[in-house]
Amino acid sequence: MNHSSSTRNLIQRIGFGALSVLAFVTVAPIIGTALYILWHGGSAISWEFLSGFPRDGMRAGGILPAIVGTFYLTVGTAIFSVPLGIAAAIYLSEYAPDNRWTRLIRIAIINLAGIPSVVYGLFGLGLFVIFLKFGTSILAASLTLSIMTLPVIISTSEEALRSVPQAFRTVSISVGATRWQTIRRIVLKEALPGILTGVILGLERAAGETAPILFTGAAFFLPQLPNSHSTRPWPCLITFLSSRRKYPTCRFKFNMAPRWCCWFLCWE
Amino acid sequence: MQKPLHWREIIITRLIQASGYSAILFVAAIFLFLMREGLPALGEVKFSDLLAVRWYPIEAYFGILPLITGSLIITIGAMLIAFPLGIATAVYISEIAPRWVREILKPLVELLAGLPSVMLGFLGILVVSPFLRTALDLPTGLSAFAGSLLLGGIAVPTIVSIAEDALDAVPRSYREGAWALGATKWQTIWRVTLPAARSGVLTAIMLGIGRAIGETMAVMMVTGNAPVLAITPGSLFAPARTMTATIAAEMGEVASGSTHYHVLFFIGIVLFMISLAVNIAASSVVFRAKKRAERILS
Amino acid sequence: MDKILIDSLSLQYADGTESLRNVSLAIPEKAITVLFGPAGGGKSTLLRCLNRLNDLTEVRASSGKVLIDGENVLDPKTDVIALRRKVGMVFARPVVLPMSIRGNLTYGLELAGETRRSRLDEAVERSLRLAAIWDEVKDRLDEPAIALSGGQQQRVCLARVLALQPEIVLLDEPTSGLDPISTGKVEAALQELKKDYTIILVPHSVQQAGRTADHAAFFLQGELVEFQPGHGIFTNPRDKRTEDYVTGRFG
Repeated sequence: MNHSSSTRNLIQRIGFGALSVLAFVTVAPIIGTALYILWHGGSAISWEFLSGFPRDGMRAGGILPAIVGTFYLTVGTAIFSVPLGIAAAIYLSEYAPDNRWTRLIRIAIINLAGIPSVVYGLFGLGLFVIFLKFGTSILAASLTLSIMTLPVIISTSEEALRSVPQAFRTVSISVGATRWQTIRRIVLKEALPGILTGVILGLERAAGETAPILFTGAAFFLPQLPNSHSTRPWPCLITFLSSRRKYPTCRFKFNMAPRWCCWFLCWE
Repeated sequence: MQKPLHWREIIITRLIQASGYSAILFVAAIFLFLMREGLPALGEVKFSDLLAVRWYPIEAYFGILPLITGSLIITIGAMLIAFPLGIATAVYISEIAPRWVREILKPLVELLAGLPSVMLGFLGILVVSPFLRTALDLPTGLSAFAGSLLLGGIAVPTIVSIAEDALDAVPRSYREGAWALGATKWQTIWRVTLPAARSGVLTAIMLGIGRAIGETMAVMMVTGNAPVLAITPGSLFAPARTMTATIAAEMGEVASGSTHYHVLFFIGIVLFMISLAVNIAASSVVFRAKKRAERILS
Repeated sequence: MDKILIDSLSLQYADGTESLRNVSLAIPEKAITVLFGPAGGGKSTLLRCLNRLNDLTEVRASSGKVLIDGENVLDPKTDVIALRRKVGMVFARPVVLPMSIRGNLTYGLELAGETRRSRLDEAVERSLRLAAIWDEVKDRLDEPAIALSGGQQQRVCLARVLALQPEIVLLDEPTSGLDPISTGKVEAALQELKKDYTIILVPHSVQQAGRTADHAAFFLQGELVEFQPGHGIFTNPRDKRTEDYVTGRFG
């Protein structure tokens, strides 16, 4: 008895040790990545880098157009996906009966979340760019990204809505509120922090996504210098990265560094 | 007391309902437009030629087999890395780690999940592939294995956070029951907690696979993009090319409406179907588990 | 005068749990009618029929009528919003809405379209006085209601109902989570309220039923076993099951 229990304890200690090591192996690269990028990228950031236009066929200069492009895209995405996503979450949490159709909606959302981003790019190209004749534009790219961020916004918002105690709804209804009044005045107010988290998560994903905007919004070939009066799309920050092989410069390699700063701000 | 008509209420309710159903509409629309642009490929290229082993679009060789095997081998490699790490980290965070460690690890994992994949791709080019080239003495570090490593890194946070949720959801009374019978914490984890959370863990793995197969940019940057048939274990250390990378790399250069263009959309259909299959499988695990739980409770 | 007439009311929930079987009952106005009996007897279900709160739950089947002032409120054409303003309800656990004390009290009135500040202030003071809590909260009306003690919260909930000037007040075990002092205050308030309101109370114990009832009905497993106007049900029960329950042989 004594022996077996000491063996079991030994097994447990070895097992726990192994798990801790594996967990460390998972986390260490994250810390490493952060340090590496801050170390090398930090020195490349200057006011000129952030506020300048690219020069010399994008071999030098700044990334202002890319930052502005990313900003426009994110705002455009938010305009479409935030109201739609929150409304869908409200439907699922407050209205949807437990039936086959609701299950179908849930499966659809899970699938939307799982579709590869490059397939979204194809879809955006097929529907918005070609079929609806939007051309490669901020509009087409924003719409594509909106549909892609929808599942993130829906599922986080739904969770936030569901965590509002049922009793609040019952009480509100019992003093003569309609369903919508209850949602607007009580439920949404209480769920707001959770919904905002979902929106930020979703938009963060949109801002960092490359593949879907390759065909829908970004200029394919980067030599064209964008300016604010042209109808040509802004190339996005991310496109610089993906075009790295064509225009390698050590400065542009690290232009994700400002993003990192944003993240750290976000997470604080 | 007759009911007055609340027009505002009715309109808002309808709008909200329509938003809910829009998810179905979007999946259908995606499917429709992939089909619209992709199906003509079957008319222009013989099906047997599509399943050939040579991908060289300039000379009209459209064999997508190398791309499928490339995606597969990189995904399998990624999963071999991500399963053990992901599950171990989830178990560590949820069952073993002291409180303060957990509070540091959870946000860190979520941070990794939020990194755009291009950034990881960069890291792959700058750090991972040179390291692999020297460490394994390869002609080039840009290989399927580098892709697997990165994809593993991308899939791990997904696996960890979902599996950790599932482990967290196992009622404390299960664990207390096992401890009361004299099981150690270690035995409880393997014989009680993990089996109880298995449907969630399975979902985590499925979604991890989905994430890895669908990843584009990181893979494109580190795998070398050579469309060669990858069926031997050795090809893990050779350059390979995935379906996603092919679409991303070539779609910008094809003429709209050409055969090449249609074939790229056809690859999109294949990817869509794979993700559909993976996700429906994952969600049916979830739904089935819920039903079982409901039966027990009622 | 009978305020409410319940006529052969039957109801079953979709999950098959609690239900009502062929209940007929006349509830007199301006008095406290107590519905008591062991858990799962259908008392709460009956209350929730009176203000149509069962609309929120999935009901498999229901039949029969509930007449309030001669109108069948179960009719699908009924204006449930107006009904719920007329029939207020206090729940077992005190649930204050996540806003100030004042906000809790004016919530229902604002929904009903009342915007005049003077009217709202008037309603706040009147209903808080009726619920016997005015003196305790009058200086902190704009603080969050959640900061109050459980007993105070429950009286704020009662006041919230009274602010709408309903005709009927339903109370579903309103004192089950409260200490004896708070319970006493709530019961005392009810004794005052019955002069103007029709009150239906589901008590949390037989003792409370005996203390507060003007009329009492005994429910067992979805059936109305016995109803007697006045105190007769406690002193002289006609049904054997009522007697067993009242004397504490089961329950």
